[in-house]
Amino acid sequence: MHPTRLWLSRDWFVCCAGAYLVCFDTKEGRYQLISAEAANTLKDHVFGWPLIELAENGESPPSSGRQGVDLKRILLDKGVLVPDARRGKAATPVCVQSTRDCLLGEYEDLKVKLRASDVLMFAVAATSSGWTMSLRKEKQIPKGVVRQIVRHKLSLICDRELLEHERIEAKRLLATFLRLRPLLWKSADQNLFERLVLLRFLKYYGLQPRWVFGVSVEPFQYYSWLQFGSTVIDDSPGRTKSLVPIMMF
Amino acid sequence: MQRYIAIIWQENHSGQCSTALKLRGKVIQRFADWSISVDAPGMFVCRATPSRSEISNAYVLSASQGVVLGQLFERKYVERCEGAGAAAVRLEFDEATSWRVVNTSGDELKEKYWGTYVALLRNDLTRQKMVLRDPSGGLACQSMMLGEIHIYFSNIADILLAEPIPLRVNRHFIVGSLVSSGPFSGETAYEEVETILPGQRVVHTCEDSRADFFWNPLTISTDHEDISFTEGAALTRRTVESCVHAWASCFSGLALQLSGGLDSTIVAACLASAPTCPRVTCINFHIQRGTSDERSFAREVAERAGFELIERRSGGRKSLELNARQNRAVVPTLLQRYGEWDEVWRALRERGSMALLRGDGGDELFHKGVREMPDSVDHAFRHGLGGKLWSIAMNDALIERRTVWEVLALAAKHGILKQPFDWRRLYRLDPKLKYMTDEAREYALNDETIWHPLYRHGAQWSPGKLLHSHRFLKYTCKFYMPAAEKDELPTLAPLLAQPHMELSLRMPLSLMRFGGRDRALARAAFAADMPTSIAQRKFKGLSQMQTDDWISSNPQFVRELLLGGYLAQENIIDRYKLETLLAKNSTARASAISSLIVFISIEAWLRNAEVHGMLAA
Repeated sequence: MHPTRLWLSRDWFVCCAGAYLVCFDTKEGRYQLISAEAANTLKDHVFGWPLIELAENGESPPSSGRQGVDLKRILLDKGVLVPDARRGKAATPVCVQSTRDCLLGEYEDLKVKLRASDVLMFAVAATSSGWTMSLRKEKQIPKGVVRQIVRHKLSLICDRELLEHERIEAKRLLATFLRLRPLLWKSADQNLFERLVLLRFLKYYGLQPRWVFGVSVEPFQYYSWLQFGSTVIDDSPGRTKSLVPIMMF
Repeated sequence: MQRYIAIIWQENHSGQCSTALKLRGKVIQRFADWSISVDAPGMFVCRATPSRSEISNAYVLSASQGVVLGQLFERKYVERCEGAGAAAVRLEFDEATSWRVVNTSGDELKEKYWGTYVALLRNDLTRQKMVLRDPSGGLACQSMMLGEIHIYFSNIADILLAEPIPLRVNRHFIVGSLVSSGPFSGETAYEEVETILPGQRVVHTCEDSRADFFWNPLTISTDHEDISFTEGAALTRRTVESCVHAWASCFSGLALQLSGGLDSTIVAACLASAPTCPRVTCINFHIQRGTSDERSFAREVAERAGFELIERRSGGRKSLELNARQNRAVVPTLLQRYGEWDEVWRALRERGSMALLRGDGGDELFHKGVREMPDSVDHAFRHGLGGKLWSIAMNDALIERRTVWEVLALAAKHGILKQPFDWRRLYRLDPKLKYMTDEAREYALNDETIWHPLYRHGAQWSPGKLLHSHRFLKYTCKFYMPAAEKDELPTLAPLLAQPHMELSLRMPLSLMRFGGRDRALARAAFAADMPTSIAQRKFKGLSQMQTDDWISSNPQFVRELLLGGYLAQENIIDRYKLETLLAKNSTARASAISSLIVFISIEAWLRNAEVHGMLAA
């Protein structure tokens, strides 16, 4: 008998990192790790569910029907999995282009002349982002944010590389952003807010990078960055390459 | 490590003479194959015959005025950027030079020379004897008393062979080191043993003995370099390169511990351009988990420099008990002997390596920065309100991810108004303190004597430079090599060379972190010699995963060691909190790894001391 097929809830995202399946709940801003052995038992039960390759010397434990049923039940109860295709999506992990370079390399890149229009656009981006985030704590990505970004931007985003003139402009805008940011907020504990401001600021000038969320396990870390093609906008490939993308807008 | 024993006494005191001569006789008998460097009234110095790879010269002064043990280079070669020229010259102290060294009380050494050394000097006219330890602290110098005579040595096991002196555990040091994170006060973990701190000088006169610092980083830091960023980068490059080249010229083959971080990459770049072209073998320890695996960076560097790279997986299931036996120093040293070092030493020696170089101290010397002390505080302290303060504050805010207003507030408070900054409160954030008992913690936090003597009262110094210098001085004090294993290579930290430390002290902090980058001067100085990925790197992999593996695979041993150990019995750490931490399913353990390894190191050290019969009954 064909097992009932389930779907991943639209509020959840998954990826394979190390020997774990990492699940992220955008509603609560929480992560859950499922061991590879347990996660693999759901392969035939959930559309698009990834199969995690186990370590070289690890023997795949015989997958017990009971283990799979237990995990399936737990995930259904938590709302990670849904039986209704209309409320769910395939559990296929996101596929993001590997990053190769970053926008700001040399320290001279920070030297930029501030323009009144840039300052105004920056202020608008900061204000609108502050309203969207309602200055709440970093853990949550409010549904409103996800919907907003997904609604207007997905159609405009593509994975091409920056053209030369776009790169020059993006560098100028990032340098402007970095110069103005310290005037308004400290970014040490407001990473999501800051990325949203930068995303909107760039958007006003016709540049639409992807916002990528990544995780690593052992030790567990989560982080996000902006990326255009294979170019990291606000960080370095050395950092982003150590993380597995779990979500992308 | 160079092994030596020095005995100092007052020759006009018959009791001291008698004790000194008895001890001298025992040392000569016990170490018949050692060579005697000084044998004169009031001073006796002998040293072990060096192995091929040891840095163990003895620069004997004329007329039995003393000896300088270790390795010296002449400073003029660094100033001329002829690093490799320094070691090629065989140094000898003629009569005039010897006279100057003794009559300046060793100041001549710091002005004209650098290296890693301990100087033992005697002045016949004044009957003074002096002991100096070089600012980099590369050669150990401990002291103890036997009656009224003073004994100086590098390896405690040697002196105990000649004269078994029962030792007692120094509780004051153990408690203090949990707060101050190391041996920075001059005390050691034995009550009877003290350490001469790097840059310190002890003067013995007929009446008494007193200690001072012939090399004071705080006074050096007041002498500021007024240069541009480009000039600063060029000067940094010349100085670092010269120092590395000088060390490289001492060996035909070298090993480099290459993590893939900025500091070891800079050392690699300098070795690649060394005029003496030593054969360099790089060693990288990695753990294949998450961000701790930095092999790709190390491979890039090694390939670019044309060096062989040996990769070794570290941590894992190596027995912790085995490691615990290897700790026989006068202070507990961190059990960081991960990986199969025995095999590594053999592999490196097979490739002709004669010493192991590391990038220790680079982060601090190149100025990674301290979030609580922005560079604009130092600038405001020296220059007050000025045009550059705004741009420096913006730079601080960018790097530390703060607002410029927060930074300016700190600059105003501690820089312009010069309100004292209690840098010691930064140590109150140390996670180890959470596991100490209230009594032990309060006792240590309120005790001035656990800190380095130069930093106990620092109100008159720029808080920025005070913190900066304290952070890398901790490396010089920590850089102590315990009794070597059979094939172990001597370890050197070429970045901790005196000329480089002095340059770093004189360089404005804001210049060292420039354009939104920490260690900006170092990055710019060596940008052409390192892969872009490393020049731009902003983060480092986490090495604590290795320790976590280690602890997880020895749970029973760790529980017995800690819960039944000295720290718990002496009510220094809270047994209940430790039990909770060590419980099988404890989720707090991951964040407490750095604290656990310190506790384990202390207990392992104590266990070793007991096993080897070093402690008094």
